[in-house]
Amino acid sequence: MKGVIQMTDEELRGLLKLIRAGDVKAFESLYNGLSAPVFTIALRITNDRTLAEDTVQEVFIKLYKSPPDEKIKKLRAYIFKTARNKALDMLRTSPTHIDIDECTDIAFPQRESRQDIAEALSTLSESDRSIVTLHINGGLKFREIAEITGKPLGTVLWRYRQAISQLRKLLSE
Amino acid sequence: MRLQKTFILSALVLSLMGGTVANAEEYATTTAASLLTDVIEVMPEEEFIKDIPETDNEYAVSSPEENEVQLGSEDIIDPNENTAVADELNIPEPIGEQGRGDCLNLENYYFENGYPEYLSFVFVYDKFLDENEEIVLLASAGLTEMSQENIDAILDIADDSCYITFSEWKYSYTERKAVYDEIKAMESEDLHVWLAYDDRVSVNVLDASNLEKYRELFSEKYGDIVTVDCIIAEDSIVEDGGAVITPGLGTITTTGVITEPTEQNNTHTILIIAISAALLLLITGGVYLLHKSKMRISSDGTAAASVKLTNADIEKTVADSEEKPSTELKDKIMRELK
Repeated sequence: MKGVIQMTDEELRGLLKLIRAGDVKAFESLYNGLSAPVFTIALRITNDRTLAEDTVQEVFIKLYKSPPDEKIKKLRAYIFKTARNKALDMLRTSPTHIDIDECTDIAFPQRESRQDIAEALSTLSESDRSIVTLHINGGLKFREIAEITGKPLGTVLWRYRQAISQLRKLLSE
Repeated sequence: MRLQKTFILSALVLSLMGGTVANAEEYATTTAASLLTDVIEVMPEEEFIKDIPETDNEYAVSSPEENEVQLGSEDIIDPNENTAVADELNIPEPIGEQGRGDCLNLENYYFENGYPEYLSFVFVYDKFLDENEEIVLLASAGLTEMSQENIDAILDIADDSCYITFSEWKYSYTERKAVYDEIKAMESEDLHVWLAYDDRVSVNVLDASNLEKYRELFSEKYGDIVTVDCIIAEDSIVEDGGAVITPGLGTITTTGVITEPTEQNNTHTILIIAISAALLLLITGGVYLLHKSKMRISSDGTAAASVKLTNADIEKTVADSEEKPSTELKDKIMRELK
């Protein structure tokens, strides 16, 4: 499925080892493999390309300058958790931020070329949007998403199913 | 849309009215299997099972301090703190000890991985949505050895949305399964044997005249681990040939066939007819409304067919909607690294 990370945790581990040694080419490979899903996740959270790109920049520069410890086993989940938290921070500190989860009829800024799916995704709460994006675009397991979002696994499963049903209804109309 | 809702509501009320009376007893004994099915319907069983870790420590971060991305205290929900809200919404409080792992289907877990010697049974008996719209499962576990170590072992496996009450019982699942297998191997048409959610092996004798015989036989061979009964109610009539006629249940013959009740249960028959009529009405109307809504008229008067999408279609669409940052961003980052 397009969007699912092709890099395994072992491959990431290998690249990060090289990056710790200052290998810029390894960093480029890491960026080429992860930038799209990280950007997508950030964009789904912030709904702003500028903020999303700022998130990607911060995440990857941090990965280069302070790579995660070798003991961390689930590197993809770690990276996406970092990206999600950074995106949320960006959103909260943005002057145009409105608390998405509290507003039920918020009007999102319109982009010139917004596609139906992006519109449909924007009707979900940030939490549900994160779950859907982390699973489909990030390729994470539900158990990993439960760790990242701090929610029980059953809730993640339930919310994912509800979100997909809602998207299906919206896009079928 | 309003017509659709009214129609569906009417049909549901009709079927519920019939269903409630006809199935009152069955509703009262909802099994754990159906509860688990309700929960597992959230995702396909096969996808759920393959998500169970092969090792205990698949997602381990050895040193939380080294991972700066940590849960804040506001992310930890203490079930005891929300009592006032729960009471106001009439939401029951979780009962029992909270799991610490990530396995929702404990029964399936032990079925696949084997029951430990100290475990007699485990099952989910109820579930509800709390005030945060999060699923809370209530489970019961029977232990033959009530030690904190054994309790902790189960809690470490169970998902943290699962609250488990523990109780002490006599026989382990392993012991019960061995007896169950032996009785099943008898291949007697007169016997129906199963492992209920307690610490015994349940046997039901279809021919009432054989009840005492089997009670003696199994008691001598297996002691009190086997309970033997016959499907007989207080107002049942046992015929000379051994067939048992129970009002509301029909007739159980010596071959184990349950025949439909006749004059004793006209009410039951009427209710079944009522439910069937309601379902037929629902299906017919649903087909009509579906056909009617299939072609939508747009504002310029042209008709367009609505698209029926599956969940897989949605997931593919979301996957294909992945976006890429600008090429300038990569250049910017690479410059910053130098």
